Amino acid sequence: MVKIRALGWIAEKLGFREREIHLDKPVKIIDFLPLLNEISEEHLIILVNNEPADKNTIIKNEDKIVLMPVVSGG
Amino acid sequence: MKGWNGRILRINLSERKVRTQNIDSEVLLKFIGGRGLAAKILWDELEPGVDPLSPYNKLIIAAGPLTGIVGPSTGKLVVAAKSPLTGGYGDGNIGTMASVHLRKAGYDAIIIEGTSRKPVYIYIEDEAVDIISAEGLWGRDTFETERLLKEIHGKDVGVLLIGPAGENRVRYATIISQEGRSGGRPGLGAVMGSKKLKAIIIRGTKDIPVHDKAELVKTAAQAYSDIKKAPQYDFWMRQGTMATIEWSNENSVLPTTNFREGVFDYYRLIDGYSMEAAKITQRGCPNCNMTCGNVVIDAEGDLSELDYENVAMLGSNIGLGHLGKVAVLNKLADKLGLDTISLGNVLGFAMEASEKKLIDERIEWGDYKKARELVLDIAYRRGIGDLLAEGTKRIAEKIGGNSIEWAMQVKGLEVSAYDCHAAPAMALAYGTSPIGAHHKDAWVISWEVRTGRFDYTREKVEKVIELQRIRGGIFETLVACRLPWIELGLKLEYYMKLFKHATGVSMTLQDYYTIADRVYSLIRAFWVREYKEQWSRKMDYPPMRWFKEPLTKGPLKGAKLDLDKYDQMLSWYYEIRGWDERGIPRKSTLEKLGLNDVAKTLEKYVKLSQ
Ligand code: SF4
Repeated sequence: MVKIRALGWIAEKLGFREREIHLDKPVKIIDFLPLLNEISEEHLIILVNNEPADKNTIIKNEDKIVLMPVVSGG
Repeated sequence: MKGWNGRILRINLSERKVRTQNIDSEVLLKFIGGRGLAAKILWDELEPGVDPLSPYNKLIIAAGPLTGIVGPSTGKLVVAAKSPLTGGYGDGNIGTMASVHLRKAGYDAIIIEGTSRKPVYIYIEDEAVDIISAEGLWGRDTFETERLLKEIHGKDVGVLLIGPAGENRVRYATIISQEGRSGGRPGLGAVMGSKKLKAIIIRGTKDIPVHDKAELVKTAAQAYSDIKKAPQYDFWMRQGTMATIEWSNENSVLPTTNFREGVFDYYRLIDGYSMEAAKITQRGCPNCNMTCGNVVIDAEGDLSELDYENVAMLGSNIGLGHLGKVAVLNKLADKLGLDTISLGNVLGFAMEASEKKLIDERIEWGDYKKARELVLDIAYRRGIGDLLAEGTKRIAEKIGGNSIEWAMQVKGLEVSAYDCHAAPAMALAYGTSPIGAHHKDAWVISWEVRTGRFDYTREKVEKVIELQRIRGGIFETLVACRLPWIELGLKLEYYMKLFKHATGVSMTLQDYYTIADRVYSLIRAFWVREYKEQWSRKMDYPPMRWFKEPLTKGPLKGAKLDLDKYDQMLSWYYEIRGWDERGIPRKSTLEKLGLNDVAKTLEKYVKLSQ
């Protein structure tokens, strides 16, 4: 299973805060989360297994994805 | 010159004398306003070595050319003085109607000198200035005092005031306005208290002079509209900075149990969603269309205005996972006039000191009842509160052991709410912030998370300096809130345009960076003049805990900073800034920035590198 967590307004946009999905074969993040097309790279941080990634990073089962906004912390 | 009033109001409380003086246009163009103007005044007028709580310190209240005019989130003021917490330059930014009224009254800054023999407040209405007895107000909290003053002077005034913490010279007392807007972390409230000054009330009735009003209004309208169109606007209006609790926990930077950890088991109980459940209204600063003060009902049934910093510091950092109780501590801090960031640090430090038996007082992690008592004891300097009112650096020096390593401060100012075990660039931002550890000049973690947490690169140093130039330079001198830019992506070009329409002066971003560098070098010169031969690059080190004690929980378990690599980043930082290996501006740098007179003076105190 791929574990996905979405934070803040990115979660609102995607419609979930946590989700698990099964992949039959490794695919790009954007292939199974097409809504990310509506969020520009400058607003988005993607981590895969705690490492910086992007919409085209290839994902396999057991990966952990975090999608979060670029916040600035006040 | 339009855009500025070109006048300072100088009030001497010892002599009860008031006068106005003009500001040279050359000074305004070189330092713009806000922090720049305040630093210039403090450099020119303060005798080095003065006791910050003596009549010889000066309290500066400074606006900038954007303050109070039409434009996004321009209702801000800078307050500055020599800090009683750090012994160096101290300033803070406060959102208040006093900013708008100051400009409408015809001034760009106020300088408060001397000390009154008895408690007073100052009432300013354009040219008329009264110094009025505050005997009946002294001892009252900030909410009640503001209400009383508005009953006397009307609601259409701006008020800056202190609570009991400022009166009792707590070294991290702040200046408060509008029941919860707080500024001046490095003890500016204590400076005001030492002058026996309870409040400043301003009513301005004139127009603020601007160069091209039609263009200004047009640009401002576009900017306001762009803010509302940002994809994150709706969510921002729901949670504001409180969304950062979840974000910080996810990234292992949420300060937990005195910055031992970056994750908190109960973060969901204090996060933005919990806040939304308790929220009843929203407040903000003047001229803002993205108000971020989320007001909740606290555990005592009162209103409390929350943001990320105060919830993280009074919540996870002291092990308290109950938003309603965190809100009580926050409300008390606002009423008493205490800085919530330093307060959360001091409470966390006291809990750890208790655990390690370095103090007699028993205070467990998350002990709300005891924490609540201590907040009051600190403000009134009762019992152990008297020691805790001194800030973590002084407490550590008193109680000894290795406590200075986990006194989470830089130069005496406590760290704000981002753990840096795995964030070297953020650690550098704290280390080199011009007032001691504070995030307002450079908040770089978001960028760092995106580009790699564990690298110590020159690119990171350049990023810290870029952010310092923008956040600490542009926004602190113009003076306007940085959040439309950093949180909702409003383009920086808007600020250059607003500046042009306000003043008639065209400036590129690069021109502005030079001004920011000038202000930074001037502030650094101020610190060095105060510390003289005691100054060293170690003053720019973050707390040793982050180097010596790794995280023991969360996905980044085991992470800690590397001192040698940090030192390398610091050397790059100095090199880019044109400072020497001690972190002291080179003579050539000061001259290049048009600070020849500063170089000449500084040379009397330390040997300057070429
Ligand atoms: S965004 Fe928040 S801090 Fe900034 S001006 Fe608006 S209310 Fe004040």
